[in-house]
Amino acid sequence: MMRWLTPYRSNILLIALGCAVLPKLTASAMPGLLPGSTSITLAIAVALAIAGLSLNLLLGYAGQISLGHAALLGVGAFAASVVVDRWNGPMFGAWAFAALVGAAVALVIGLPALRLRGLYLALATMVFGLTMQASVLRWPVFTRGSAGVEVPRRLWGDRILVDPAIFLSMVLLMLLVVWIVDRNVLRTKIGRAFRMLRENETAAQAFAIDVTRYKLLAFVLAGAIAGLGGALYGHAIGLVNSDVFPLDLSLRIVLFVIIGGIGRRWGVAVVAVLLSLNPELPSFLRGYDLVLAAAIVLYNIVRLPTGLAGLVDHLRDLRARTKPSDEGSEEMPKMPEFAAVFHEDPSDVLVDRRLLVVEGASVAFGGLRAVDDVSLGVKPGTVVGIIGPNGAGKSTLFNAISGFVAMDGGTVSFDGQPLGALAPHARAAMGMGRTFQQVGLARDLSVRENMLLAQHQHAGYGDAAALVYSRSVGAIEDTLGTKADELIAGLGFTSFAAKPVGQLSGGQQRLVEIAAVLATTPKLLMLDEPTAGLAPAAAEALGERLAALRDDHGQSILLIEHNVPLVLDLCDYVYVLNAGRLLAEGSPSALGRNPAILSAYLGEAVA
Amino acid sequence: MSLLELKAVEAGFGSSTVLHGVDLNIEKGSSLGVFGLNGAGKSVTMKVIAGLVPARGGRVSFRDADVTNLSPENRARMGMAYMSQARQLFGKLTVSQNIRLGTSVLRKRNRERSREVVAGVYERFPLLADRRTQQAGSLSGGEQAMLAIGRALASDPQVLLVDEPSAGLAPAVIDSVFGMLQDLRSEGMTIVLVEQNITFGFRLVDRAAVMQSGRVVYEGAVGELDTTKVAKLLGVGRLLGSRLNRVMNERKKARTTKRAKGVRR
Repeated sequence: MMRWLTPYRSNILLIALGCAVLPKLTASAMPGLLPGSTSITLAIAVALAIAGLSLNLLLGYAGQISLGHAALLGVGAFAASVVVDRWNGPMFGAWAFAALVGAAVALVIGLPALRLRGLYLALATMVFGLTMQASVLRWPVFTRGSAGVEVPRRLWGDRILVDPAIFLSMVLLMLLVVWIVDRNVLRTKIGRAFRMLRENETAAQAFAIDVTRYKLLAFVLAGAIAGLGGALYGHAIGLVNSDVFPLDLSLRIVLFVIIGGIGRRWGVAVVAVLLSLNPELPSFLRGYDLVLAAAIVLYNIVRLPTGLAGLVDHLRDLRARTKPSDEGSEEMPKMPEFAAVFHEDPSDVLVDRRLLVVEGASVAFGGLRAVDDVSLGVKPGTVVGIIGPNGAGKSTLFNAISGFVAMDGGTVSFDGQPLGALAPHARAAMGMGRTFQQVGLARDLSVRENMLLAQHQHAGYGDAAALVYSRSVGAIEDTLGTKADELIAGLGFTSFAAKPVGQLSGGQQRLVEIAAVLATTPKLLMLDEPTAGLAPAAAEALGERLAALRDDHGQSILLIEHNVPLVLDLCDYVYVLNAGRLLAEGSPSALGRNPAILSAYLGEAVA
Repeated sequence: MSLLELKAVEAGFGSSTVLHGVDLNIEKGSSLGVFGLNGAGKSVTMKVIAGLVPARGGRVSFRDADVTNLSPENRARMGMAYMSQARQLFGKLTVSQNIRLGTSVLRKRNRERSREVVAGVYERFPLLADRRTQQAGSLSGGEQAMLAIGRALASDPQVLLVDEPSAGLAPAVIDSVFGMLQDLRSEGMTIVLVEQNITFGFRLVDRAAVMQSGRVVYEGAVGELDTTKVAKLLGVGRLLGSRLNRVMNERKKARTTKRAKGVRR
């Protein structure tokens, strides 16, 4: 049953069902369903729910705030009016046009978002909203100033849709379409990339995710949905002017998302509809509605930061917890098995030349030379270690190699190509996979989702295909899913594949991270302190696994590590870094024979 | 006298349970090491003691009071000092500002006492006194570890909760960190330690508790533990096993000589 109901099929079924059922439902049952609310007030509420979903996609998934969403709705409404009122076009065309214009305008808002973050982005989008309201939305050429423009519900030619119940069913159908697109976003690489942006922009790049591109895509998608929502809103109220889209409306949309639950589709939609219906309050509360709303918001923020959806989750967890769980009886974890990853032939790596060549690398932070004229190389199929005291510049060197820190001098070439100022995600796409000292995973996503996320560059489908979840997308996602399950099984983590990574212990997170980086099928695996926080047994096992990766699969590895016995045991070549400079290099046996170096910088514990 | 006691403590996240009834007992002036594989629940246990993760069941008592529902800051006021894995210094603040933050849990009116405690910290770590005006972020790894301990001591604690002090430190630095902890222990400070580095961990503590899947499965005085059993529970291989043996034998010997001395007296 579950196998048969693929996402692709369930999308088609939902749309078919919506087309068949919604018109009848709204025509017959609606008046009795919610007393006191007409089809039009409901249509307005649903249009605002679409606006809420738009912001939810932007804020909840991609982590980009917008306080100017009302302006996007306004743009959509006026664009729709141009089509139906001025060009006498059909309203379906108007919706498509509104979505396009909304996307284009959102792209303009998105540009500052590439540089701004948090509070500054909130301010910039708010100012954008206010400016739009005061200028473009008042521009007589488009909007006839404060007199406003009509947005007739034109079907085609002279046919105007009069039955509000039918209109409501159309709006609901559009909500369904947005819902499905939103769902498709979440279950493809687009949604995973968005959520990785929100969680950890730096680590996203290490998984070959182009941060710029996906940020803009988030704005464009949100803009298209908001434009559509605005058009529907305009059609519902019939006459729009700039006063319909004040800052106040933007803030209300933000409230929908926060009270519904950030990133939670159904919570946002339910809250948006409920808050937009303006229910009749009992008489003793009349006039206090703003006070009441403020109290709800305050309570929400203090006690329910995860919103309505979070509350429901919590209740479900409470119920689940009372059931006996078998987690307690879990056996000792298996030794991690990373070798299942390889689908590529190791022979496509250059064999006769060095895979990584760093020459004269220097990085300065102000007056401090964190890395000073360091040269090193990694031959294919070898494990190279970097050791040195804390603050020696090891991690900075790593960041310079992987492109996260600009070098002040020197060159890096990889796989025979000079890298210049290539962006980190492009380096990752070339086959540099790296881990971070502070584990570079999306903490809120499950172990499995992180494994899927890591395979970003192997998800070979386009964005448009992803939005409609075409058949080929389904096939590719299935392959990625199988791979992810294999990797997780290799770690022995199958029992908590669905757990958010943030709930795993530090050592488990570290193992998941290494497996995730291997899922990118890197030509060079760069590990920054892989055994930090690992139990001794796990650290030992990890060393054996890394050796097996090299011996059986020709994996090249560059690692920073404080565990000197492991380094001496595992590495083919070792560089010793101190105060930003190369202090020594050589084979482990040569360095081992030079205890002066080791004891001076690493202490007596080496032996 | 028991200073800190955990009785049947349960804790978890969302629908999953991580601790399935943990019992621990720490006497004043003693030191307890919590060991176990990754995901056994060691760090969560520490966080439950410090109040950073709520206990869902069971009881945490500290200084003869039930603190199960007490906030982390109130527990700190009662004398718990928690040092997390990440050390969490304020990198942009100076050394002395970091240390003064440590004293913030002492009573505001008790200026005299705060001054005394801070002076004590600088006396213990003269290096920190020299670096008083330097930004914490600009210190070397070892100095940062020292500052983290100094800041914890600045709250004049009854118990030090230390979560993996060795993580991410170069071996030489680990050595000096454990030297500092050793000094504190011999001065009678109560210490609860979570540590992956077996050698250092078992050398420091008097008692050890081994956790597995959210429960304490083996506990005892370090000198009396069955080394083979510990090695099996911690899943250590040949290389580490021999090191564990060495440390355990050291501790056993120390214990018997101590006893012998006691008898002579």
